[in-house]
Amino acid sequence: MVMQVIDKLFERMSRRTAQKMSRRNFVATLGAALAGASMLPVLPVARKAQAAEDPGVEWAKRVGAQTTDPKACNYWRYCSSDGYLCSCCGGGPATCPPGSTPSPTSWVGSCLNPDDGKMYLIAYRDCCGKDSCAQCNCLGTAGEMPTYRPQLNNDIIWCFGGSSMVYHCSSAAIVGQV
Amino acid sequence: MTRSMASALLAIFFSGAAISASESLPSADAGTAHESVDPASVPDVLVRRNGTVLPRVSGAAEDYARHCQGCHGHLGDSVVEVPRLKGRVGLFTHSAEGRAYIVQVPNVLQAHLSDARLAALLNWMLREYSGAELPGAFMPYTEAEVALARTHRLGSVIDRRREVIDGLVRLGVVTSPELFTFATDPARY
Amino acid sequence: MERAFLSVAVAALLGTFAAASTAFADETKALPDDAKLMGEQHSIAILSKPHPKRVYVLEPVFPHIVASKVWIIEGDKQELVGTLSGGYLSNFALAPDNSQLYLFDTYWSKGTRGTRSDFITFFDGQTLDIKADVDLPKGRFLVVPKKQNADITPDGRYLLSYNLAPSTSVSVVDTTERKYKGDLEIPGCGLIFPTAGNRLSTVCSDGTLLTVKWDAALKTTTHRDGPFFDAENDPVFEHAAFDKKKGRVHWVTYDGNIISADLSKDKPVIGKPWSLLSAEDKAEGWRPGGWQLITMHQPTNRIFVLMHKGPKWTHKQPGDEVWVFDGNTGKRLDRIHLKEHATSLAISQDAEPYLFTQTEKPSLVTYNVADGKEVGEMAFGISPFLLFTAGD
Ligand code: HEC
Repeated sequence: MVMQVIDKLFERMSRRTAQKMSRRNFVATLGAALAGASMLPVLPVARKAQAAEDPGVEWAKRVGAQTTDPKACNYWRYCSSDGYLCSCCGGGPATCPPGSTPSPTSWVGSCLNPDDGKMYLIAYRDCCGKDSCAQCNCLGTAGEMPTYRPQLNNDIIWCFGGSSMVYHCSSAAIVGQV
Repeated sequence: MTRSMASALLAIFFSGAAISASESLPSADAGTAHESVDPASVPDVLVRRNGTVLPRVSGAAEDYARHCQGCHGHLGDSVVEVPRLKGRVGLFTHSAEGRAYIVQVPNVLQAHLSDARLAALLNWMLREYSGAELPGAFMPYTEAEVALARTHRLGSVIDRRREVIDGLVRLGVVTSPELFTFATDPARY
Repeated sequence: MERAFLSVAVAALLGTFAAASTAFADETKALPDDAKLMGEQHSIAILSKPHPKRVYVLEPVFPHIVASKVWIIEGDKQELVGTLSGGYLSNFALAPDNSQLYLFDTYWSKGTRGTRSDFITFFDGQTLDIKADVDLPKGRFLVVPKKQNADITPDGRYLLSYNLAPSTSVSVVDTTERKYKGDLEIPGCGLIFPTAGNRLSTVCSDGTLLTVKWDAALKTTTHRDGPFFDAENDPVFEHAAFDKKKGRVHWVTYDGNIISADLSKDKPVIGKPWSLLSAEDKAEGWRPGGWQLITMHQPTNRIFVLMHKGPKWTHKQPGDEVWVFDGNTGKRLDRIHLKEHATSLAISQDAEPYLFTQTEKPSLVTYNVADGKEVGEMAFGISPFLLFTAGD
């Protein structure tokens, strides 16, 4: 019973966030928001000089990255995430939805946390073993490289060692603070 | 109910049923003391709620995390398709060919790291994941050794790996090549 | 029995309506006497001969990722004339004479689980009948489809399928024997540019170019060039303008530099990079982007690139315009304003080329290259992604 209520609520929320958020629409919307609003938090100055050049910094500014809602495309960890957010599929950024399994492999990128101005390494690891979740499609491409540099590419199915190589959703676990 | 409250609630409900992808890099496992970060200092809804302790990574450890960890895992052991470093990679340093080989595997040779940083990374990796297998008089890699090894590319990684491992068997470093098995193909070492 | 009968009917129909792309017909004419009471019977359509303005659209169907498909479209008429159904993240290739179509495919025995099998399916280019399934025992690279992960040699002899498992190699399948021949190791490299019956070039993670030649026993000799681009700061996109028959390629980088190369010999000749962008274009923020973002009109060496305005790291953002360049001189010839922004493009290789663009709506919008005017728009599918035309 409780689960049913939760399911309903969950479904409604997912649908809202899942509206085809192609990067383009997303960027356009945010651009408009940025132009019109001064209430967006100002990013703290990046900690290191190196961090200032990091691709994740530009992304965080452009989309107005936030640290509270993992179901939204502009959640700070998703600066290089590509695909359906596990957060909208019954899991979370470091949690696979029920019945799917995380791959021990991933690619590793870095994103700026907008609230402390620090860079964190993020493992973009897929949850695997069932058909694609098809909720909350998000595309971040900060620092993303072609597949001939596999450790920096987000189109690869990072399901090696999963229960099968079938992609279910994209997660974004923090590896560490740099 | 605000949206973030709702998602927090949902996350709690779902966490029971879902499988966790490991988020933190438990410093104890890795055998060396990474500096750890107080969860309360990390402005992230989940890190704070779960009290996840994150390591602070820098230097060679950061280079490993960015360039190698995705495939080899933070413990130096990930999936059958990627050879295990943990408890094994140090054995390669018992022969000259082996020392060159671990610089020459494509993801090392072609890494976007200078010779000096790569030398530091390899030394860190060897001690971190395979300290026990290093020879007593292990000589750390130098920038010059890495630079020299990088001038030679492997035509076939599989063939070269076999030659190197057969050499280690002949030297008596290991008794059987089976120790080096990887990939789904059991015949492959 | 019924099947045999139908083929007779179809064969008869073909004779009558040879030019029709979809052969519907009054089948009673062909019926023998004893079948007169059968009423309306089904025939099976057969595609007309391939032509330059036919477009094959590969769709990975992202929301149901284990069921790829190929849409076959008459690009001059905005008409769907057939489909192929595939499995997980299929790749597609066309025989040089378009007589056969190939799907590089992956299935599990229980849909999303069970035993994995990888193989190439050979389809007849007109009946779309399946002619063979050839196993790929080493598997294949599973990734959102990109053209240069699966291709065919310019003579049509070998199908090449890239592997990143994550060791990197190329599986070789002989189209005449319909057999897997083995794998070529390409350590640390990706993308396949086949330029002869026994030769391919591949781009490596340090920006070098590896050219691999193989013999009948798949023994290889290699040649390495480069680095020919800065793989750390300005990488080349995976899609390139490529003419495998002439061995000519134009790579484009994230920052809008073109690197042209002649791959027609065992030792490639790589040109000096030149920029798509004038100082003014740069000031306005233009850059290339999208998925299959570049192509070329092979007979005239004209390059077509999807362009948008955006900062670095917007390399997958769809294009608002297609810029046209002379591949010999680097001169910009035209800017085609797209009515709908596009992620992928392809061009017909005939004398009066059409430009096909895949929009995010999704739809296929076709333009006449001569005047930049829209020829038509056609909506189909959920997430069509890659475009292939005859002869490209
Ligand atoms: C894309 C995945 C990937 C990445 C990234 C990667 N490796 Fe590897 N590594 C492999 C594979 C696969 C092999 C097996 C040899 C081969 O086929 O390349 C391997 C082999 C090795 C070996 C030889 C071990 C043996 O048993 O043969 C060493 C040492 C190694 N890698 C270290 C590293 C280091 C250090 C880095 C980072 C600079 C790194 N690797 C990055 C996938 C990867």
